[in-house]
Amino acid sequence: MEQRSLTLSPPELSEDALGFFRWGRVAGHVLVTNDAGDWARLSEAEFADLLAGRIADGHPRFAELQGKGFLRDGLDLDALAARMAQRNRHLRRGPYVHVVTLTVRGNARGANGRALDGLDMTPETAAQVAEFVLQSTSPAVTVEFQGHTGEPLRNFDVLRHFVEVARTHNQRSTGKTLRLRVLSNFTALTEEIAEWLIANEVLVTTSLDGPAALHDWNRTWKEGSAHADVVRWLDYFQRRYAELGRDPAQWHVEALLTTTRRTLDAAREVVEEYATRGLQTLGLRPLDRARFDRDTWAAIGYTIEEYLEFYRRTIDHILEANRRGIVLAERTASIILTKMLTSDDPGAVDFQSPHGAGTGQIAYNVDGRIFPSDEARIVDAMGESFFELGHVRSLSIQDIVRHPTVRAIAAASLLDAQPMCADCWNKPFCGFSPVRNFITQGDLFGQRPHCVECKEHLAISTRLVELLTDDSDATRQETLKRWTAGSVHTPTDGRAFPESP
Amino acid sequence: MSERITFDRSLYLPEAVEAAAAAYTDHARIELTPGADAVVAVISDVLEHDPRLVAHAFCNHALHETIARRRQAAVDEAG
Amino acid sequence: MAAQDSTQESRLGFSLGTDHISFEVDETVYPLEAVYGACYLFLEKCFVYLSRSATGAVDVRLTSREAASPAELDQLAGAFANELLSQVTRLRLSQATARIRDYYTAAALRAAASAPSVDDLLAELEAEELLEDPLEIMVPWEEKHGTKQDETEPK
Repeated sequence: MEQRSLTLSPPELSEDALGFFRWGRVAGHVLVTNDAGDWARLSEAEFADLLAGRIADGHPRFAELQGKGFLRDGLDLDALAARMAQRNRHLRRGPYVHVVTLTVRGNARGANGRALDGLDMTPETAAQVAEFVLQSTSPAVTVEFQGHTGEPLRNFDVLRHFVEVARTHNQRSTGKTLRLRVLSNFTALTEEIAEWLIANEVLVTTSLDGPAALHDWNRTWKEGSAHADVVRWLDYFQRRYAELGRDPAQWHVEALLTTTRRTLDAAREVVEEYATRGLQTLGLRPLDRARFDRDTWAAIGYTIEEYLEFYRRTIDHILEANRRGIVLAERTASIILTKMLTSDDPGAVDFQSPHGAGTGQIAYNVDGRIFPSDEARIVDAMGESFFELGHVRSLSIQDIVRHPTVRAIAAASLLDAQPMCADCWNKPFCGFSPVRNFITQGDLFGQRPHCVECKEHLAISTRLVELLTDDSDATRQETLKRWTAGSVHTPTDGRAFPESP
Repeated sequence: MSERITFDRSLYLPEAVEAAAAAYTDHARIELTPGADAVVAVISDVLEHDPRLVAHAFCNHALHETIARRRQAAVDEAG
Repeated sequence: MAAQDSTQESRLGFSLGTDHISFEVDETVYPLEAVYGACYLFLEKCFVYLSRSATGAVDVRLTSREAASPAELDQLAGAFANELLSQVTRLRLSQATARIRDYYTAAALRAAASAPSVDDLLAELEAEELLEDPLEIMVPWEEKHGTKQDETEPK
């Protein structure tokens, strides 16, 4: 074998002059971040100065880096701790997203192709779940009604019963802020049901996969309404909300996009469709390879690299639409921007460390069995009951939060304890799902370099930093700042990425 | 045909090598022989894939398990 | 960890095989944790195997997953060496700031734990309302009326 050698020049390091931070290279600069979520972009020369302890009073970056806690000189540990506490206050909140699967009726099939037809949540189970949800210590809870790959409105009577029980119980004893949302593909929607949803303040989320040709092509492998019907109902709800004088910032239909191979070539068209329909958020997320059989994946799938290229183009189109005065935010970007630009936690369990499965989100199957997340419930539907926590009639919320499975998920998702994550500059803005690792790699931890979620989150954060630090376009920067939760209505009252109905 | 791999105990945790072996039961037969300084793995009866590929991937998995476990242990100790 | 003159260059030798590179890494210069940190990042690109040929040295073999030219293997060696350096820097910074991190992490957890929930606040409010006691129900009778101490309190 040939012998060679490398000459290495270790950086000058004056570690006693520094606070703790992580770093990485982004767009030709060095990005430093700390546990409080503060960050700064440095040139290579500035980074060398930082490491060497040469950023002292008089240095152009001194005040900024000192204020953000990167320097030992003047390091305010209590302020740092306060910012960290603010970011992590979700830890004490209690489960706030409750995903209730009302039915598996429709064309739903299990992973082995066996029909799952005929299974609905009963009124008795629904009442038990409704009261269980209100045991949460969170002052506000969101209940999301869905079907297992299908349409929850097929079990509308039980949905109605659930809402009535929940509201009655809440008014009498718990007094929480109760938000309700149904994820419907509109295949079982009638005007009577629509009016009931409106009157009873149940928000609506549906599937819209782009313009008609794209949306309707997806219906060849996925149940749902044709484009024309989705648009009809979108218009119906928007019109009725306006007639009732409801605040459009809160009262509007949300839509979810299923990104398939065909979507990758239609970034502009998808954005224009969402803009045309008056939708305020577009949630981009890659398909999960593990959920599809080989033939289906061959027809609709793509690599993560292809997806990320699509993501970059779509973000550019969304920003361009905003420049034209259209209010449209990208959901993943909104979540990360909230973490980058504020001290708030956007409440998206997939971006929390530890992951919020079981502590922030709970999922309820049609039969009343409880899971730490809807993903975990889907694992069960695929034949693996590993994540089941028990039944609603025999557990309390405290049992859930303390369950060994929930604790295992938390331990596996604590970023400080994971190799690679612990050193990553994106750590304060990131999170991953151990349940997804279980699906894709067979264990909760997963080999980080192979994690698709890691690649996705890092690429998006990188792109956002590039955009935020590009001073050439002030309008774009203002748009990105508006996307932080609470500035533009980006729904943080539920899951970041529910399954498209 | 079999592959023999020596995992030095000062570099690989024995329980990590065991966990990797357990994860690979669907791909090959892996016999572990723990010794004072090393755990020796013999990989045979490889199913479907190139035996060298399986051996390489198995080594990666053992290293991943080692590093992850060591980090978790450090966090638990600090905690 | 051995002190290091930060301006001193060092040489890291490696062997170039047909599909792999091998380093003999001096642990006094590159602690095992740094070696692990660098190796972990290469698990996707390469097959990584560690062994010992001498005490205090770790043999790191990186085998390319795909066919690789000598120039590509050379690049891989450079990338790994750079990452080793980076990991040493991270390790030193982490060790130097361990107590700082322990402090603010503990303080953050305490702050999060002591932040009142709405239920706590409501409970406090209830307690306050009771203590307001405008009818002086809680005030002992003798205190209210100034009578002898052996008289019983009203229930």
